[in-house]
Amino acid sequence: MNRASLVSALEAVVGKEYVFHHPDDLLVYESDASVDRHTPGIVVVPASSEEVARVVHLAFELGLLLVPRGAGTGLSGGAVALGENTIQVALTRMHRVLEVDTVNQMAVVEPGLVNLDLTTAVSRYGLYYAPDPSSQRACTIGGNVAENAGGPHCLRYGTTTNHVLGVEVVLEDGSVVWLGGHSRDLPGYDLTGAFVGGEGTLGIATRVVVRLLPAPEAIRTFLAIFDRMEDASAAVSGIIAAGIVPAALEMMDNLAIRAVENARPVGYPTDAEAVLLVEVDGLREEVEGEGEEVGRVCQSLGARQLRFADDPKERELLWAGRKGALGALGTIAPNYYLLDGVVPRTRLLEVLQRVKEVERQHGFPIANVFHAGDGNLHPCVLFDERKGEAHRAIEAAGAILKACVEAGGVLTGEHGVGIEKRAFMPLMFTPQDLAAMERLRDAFAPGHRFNPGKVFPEGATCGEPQPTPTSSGLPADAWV
Amino acid sequence: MPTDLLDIFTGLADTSDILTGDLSQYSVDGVAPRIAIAPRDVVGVSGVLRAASASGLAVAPVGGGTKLFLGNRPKRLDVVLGLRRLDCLLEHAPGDLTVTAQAGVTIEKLQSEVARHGQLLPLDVPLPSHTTLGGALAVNLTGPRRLAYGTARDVVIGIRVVDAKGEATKAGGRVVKNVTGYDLCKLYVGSLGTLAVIVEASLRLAPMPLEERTAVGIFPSIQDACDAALDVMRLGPRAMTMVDARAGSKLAGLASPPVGQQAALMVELTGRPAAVTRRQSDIQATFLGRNAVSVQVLEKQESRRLWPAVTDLGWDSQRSPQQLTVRFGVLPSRVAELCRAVQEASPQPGVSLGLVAHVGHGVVRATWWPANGGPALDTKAMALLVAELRRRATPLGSYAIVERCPAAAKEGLDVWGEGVEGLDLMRRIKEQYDPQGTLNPGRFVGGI
Ligand SMILES: Cc1cc2nc3c(=O)[nH]c(=O)nc-3n(C[C@H](O)[C@H](O)[C@H](O)COP(=O)(O)OP(=O)(O)OC[C@H]3O[C@@H](n4cnc5c(N)ncnc54)[C@H](O)[C@@H]3O)c2cc1C
Repeated sequence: MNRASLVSALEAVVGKEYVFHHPDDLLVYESDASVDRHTPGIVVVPASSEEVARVVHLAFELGLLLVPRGAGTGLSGGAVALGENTIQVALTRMHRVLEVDTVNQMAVVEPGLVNLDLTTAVSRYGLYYAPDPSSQRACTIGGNVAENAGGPHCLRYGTTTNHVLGVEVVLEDGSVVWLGGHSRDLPGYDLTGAFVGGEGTLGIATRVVVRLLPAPEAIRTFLAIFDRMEDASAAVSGIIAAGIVPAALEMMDNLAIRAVENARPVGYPTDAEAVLLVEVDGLREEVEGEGEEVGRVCQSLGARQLRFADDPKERELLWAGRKGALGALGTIAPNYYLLDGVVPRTRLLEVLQRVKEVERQHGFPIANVFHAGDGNLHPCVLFDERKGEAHRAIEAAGAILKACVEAGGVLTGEHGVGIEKRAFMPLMFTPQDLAAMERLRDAFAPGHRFNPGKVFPEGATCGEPQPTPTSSGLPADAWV
Repeated sequence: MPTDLLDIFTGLADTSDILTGDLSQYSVDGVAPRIAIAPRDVVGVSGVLRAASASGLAVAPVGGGTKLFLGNRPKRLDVVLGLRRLDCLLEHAPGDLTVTAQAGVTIEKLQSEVARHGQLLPLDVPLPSHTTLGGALAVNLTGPRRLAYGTARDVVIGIRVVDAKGEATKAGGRVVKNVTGYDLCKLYVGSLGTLAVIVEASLRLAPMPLEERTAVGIFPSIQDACDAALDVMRLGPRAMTMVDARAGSKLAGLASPPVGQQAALMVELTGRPAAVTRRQSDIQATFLGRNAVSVQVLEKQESRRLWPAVTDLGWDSQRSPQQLTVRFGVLPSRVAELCRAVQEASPQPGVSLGLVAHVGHGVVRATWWPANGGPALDTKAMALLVAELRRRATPLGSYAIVERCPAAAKEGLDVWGEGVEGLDLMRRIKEQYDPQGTLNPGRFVGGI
């Protein structure tokens, strides 16, 4: 089938205005929020699960490759269409909340629904959807499912996988299957759990059943400023050791503090080494008690400033610096490479020191803005692409990821492997480990038609890690 | 022991790992293996599986042996692979709230180790003193505290397995947040030993709550108890379980509906004392508003005695050979309806039904015990009952899995039920991970 007849065949399924094939129209679909670019062959934007199934079936018959796409906010190149003439399936028209069940605290949604829109839709019932990636104003539930997205409040409430009860999936041959569903513990393998985090390589999610939680009765946010990183890290451990798992436990280092004060000042002392944000939520009495404890830990470790707020507006102010940090980094360097390693939280300090060494050895400033509570680091390597520094920045990033793995950690906590980290997979996994993962794909998508070239290191020449940097192409108000 | 088998395994496994004595003690659902081997390390496990798969033998991995009756009868069984000797607790990192242990460590041992640091392993499996970690993960049975902590799938952060051909692989890690590669932990958890043998796992822990208390309400009807349960769900209890009179009578007098009352609802509250106290009074008021005839509050000590008994209900080892236990899963709002359907399907005289319903997540267990002195259900009656239960459960959106019944009764029924959604995909997964059908052949859904 030639291109023109393929276009008409797709148009027959989704309608003329929802098939894009002119080079100009394809531009917006060529990248996500990372820097990898590749032009898809054709983009289709179906309106229903049935249309997705027909598109997939058509591609199957013709032996074509497919890439699902949500909002394109991914940070590892997941939605970038590699391969020749790959059809990109954008799920953004499928953004309805299909069912809200307040008694059973769950909802059924379409994959193109924007994460925050779900919480907005259910907040009038006193419910919310817990996983809150910082991109939640833009990213979709389908993209969250594919990446097993996290967020600042996943420390206490878990990531996407802990909140997805079932998924309707279109498989490679166009057949539609429900994994999981409304009832718990259905007989058989936990296919839902295996599918979440599949990075678009296993199938296309067309409906998602999610768990909703009752909104907490009270929330208290603490901002603690420390002169020494040691003390801030000790506060993280101290809070956990006090038997408290806060809703969020976030940290920023000195470079990030200075960037914030340079861009949109919030009153941080620029000589402080660390800012800690702690949020506790739940019943009023719970929040009181845990709050006292958090305050005590911070004070006993010599916090230079300690503020807290209960009121939503004031809490937002305490968060402002943290949320503005990524954008602020964009004002002090033309480019940054944002990493996503995880280490056991007791080894944070040690790994942050390794990051400092990398900074010295490689000669790039590295800022840290991260989810300290679950050990999820986001080091940002600042560089200038115009000076041809990209390659060396990548080397610095590689050294950091290596340090994370050596400290008993992992390559990515929430952004996924995608294109970006596939070459690093052998740092963590043996060929046998990877082969075990490939078997899952062989079961779901034996023809490897979905999202080719992602997750797994390519071919035999996977010796030299060659990731590609995320750059400051992000909007100024973006945060991670 | 057949000499051909000895030839296969000597050299690969340490011969002293080969268990002697009457092999029928290692039977799975009445099917005795031809050899039983309990290796001391992962290398030994690999050796056994490599040899078994090369010779086309069927292997049943066995942990503490407390839940071997789950699933269909084995289609074939040559080797029982015991994992109890892999009993090293490898790392407890209190500051990370994680623990890593080998598969043969018992849940009780893990609990007591982490308790020394004021932490708990958030898995309330039945019979923890005999249940191994590997077994608990393989069956993924959930207890009442799932409401607060989720199930094994939510708790496991990393896993090591040996596959059917003897290759050792890992997935996940030791950190609490990780999306590096596919989440194979989810696949192995709950796979009943049909995809690979779990040899090690890392799990997340939770801090022990400061206060624990349980409100027990006695209700005239199951409907009232379930209504009350739905009302208090928003208070965030750690556990919430309803029992009928028969099941309640097995709870050491802690939650037993007296004559004339049909249900007891137990709601466990944990956290800071002030928060527990406020919710406790909310609950008392709610219960009374839903027709409770009494509300009693169990303080920490009694509360701590109650919940393990609830978790163990129906799993006790001195089971009656004629016991039938069926698990259902519905939406919380349909639990009462489901209980009614089960009661209606239940044959009246001679056999008594006990219901345990975890209303917050909709998992319900019905157990039929032979009544004192009365006749037990025969295997034919069991098959008929199960068919009837399925007929009534399906319209309510529930499956009906036979968790426990006499081995003989399994001849006439598929314990998992027909029409499992996604079965083709599950078969393809089995085909990928264990193409020869070495591991537990026939025991899982659809004869996998
Ligand atoms: C400023 C910023 C902050 C961020 N903060 C966070 C954060 O805090 N936590 C976090 O986890 N991530 C974060 N991210 C990353 C990103 O937002 C998440 O990975 C998100 O889940 C991607 O959703 P999306 O809809 O944009 O998906 P896309 O980028 O469009 O796609 C991501 C992947 O999902 C697949 N996919 C999309 N839809 C489907 C579907 N229906 N079925 C199957 N596969 C599908 C794609 O093929 C691709 O592999 C951030 C990104 C930005 C730009």
